[in-house]
Amino acid sequence: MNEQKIKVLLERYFEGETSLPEERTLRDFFLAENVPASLKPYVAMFAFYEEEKKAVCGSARKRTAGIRLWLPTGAAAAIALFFAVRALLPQQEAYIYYVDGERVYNREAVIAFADDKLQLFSASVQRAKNGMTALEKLNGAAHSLKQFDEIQQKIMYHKNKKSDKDEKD
Amino acid sequence: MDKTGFNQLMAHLRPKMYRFALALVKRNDEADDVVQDVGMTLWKRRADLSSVRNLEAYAMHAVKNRCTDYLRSRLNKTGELCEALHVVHEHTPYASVEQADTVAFVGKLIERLPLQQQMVIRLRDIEGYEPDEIAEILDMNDSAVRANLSRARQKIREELLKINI
Repeated sequence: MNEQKIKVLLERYFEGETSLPEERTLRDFFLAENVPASLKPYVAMFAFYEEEKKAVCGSARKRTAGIRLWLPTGAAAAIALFFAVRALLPQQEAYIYYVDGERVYNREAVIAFADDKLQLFSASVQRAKNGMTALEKLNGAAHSLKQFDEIQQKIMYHKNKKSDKDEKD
Repeated sequence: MDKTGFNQLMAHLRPKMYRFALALVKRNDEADDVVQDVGMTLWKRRADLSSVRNLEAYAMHAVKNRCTDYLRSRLNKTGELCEALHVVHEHTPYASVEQADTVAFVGKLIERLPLQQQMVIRLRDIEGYEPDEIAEILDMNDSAVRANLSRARQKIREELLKINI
């Protein structure tokens, strides 16, 4: 859009007469590069509105990422804490629920979420147990090998002892 | 409204509610509490929400009312006039502007507008609501919304042109 048309649109904007799509056009124009010098004073205004829009979403994303890193390792602790807090607070209205760093007001949804996490955690524990069983089998085999080695050494000892005795005789 | 619908609504609305509340109460903890209070109220009234024509405007209206309660409560506690409620600043913060970033300066200009104008310009230029929705949120009529919007924008223009002379 050329500069003249933007100026006309801008006048209507300041009169409060522009529609939302027209205001988006203005915003796109002022947030792009190469804004003419005569229109530069308005760049900060549109930039501020754009920054304000992103401000909360940005911090929410950061917080969520932090919690997500923590969840897989601390799922059991989180669930335990959830139930501990629940047990300590006598009134249902006093509960504060957080899921992925966001406050959630739907109690049923929180319980469903906690249940899902609990099931995932159980599955992880089961996998770890299976892994442990395999390790235990390996450990058992190593133990048998060690016993076999000891028996072999004993046999060798007795054989040597016997041959020494034969030589003396 | 079922829980999935409610959660979707809240996921969409929460950032808008928080920004609007923060602009009014100016404190993160109170803005957070406002959003939580309104969220809980909406959840308790979920059975009635299907009859609400514009749920978003309804929720933002509740945020505005809750913020007003917070500001009144603060007013009662301090016994002083709360700036955010109705003070119009005649001075402009030029001293601080000279060094400050002009983008942040726009924020300061908005904070110095009368409360109605602040709310209208935020709801329009940041949250993107139509005039009839703003009218519903703020209990005003459409023409008052347009008048406040125009005055707010003109004031910001005036100040921006002054610092760019």
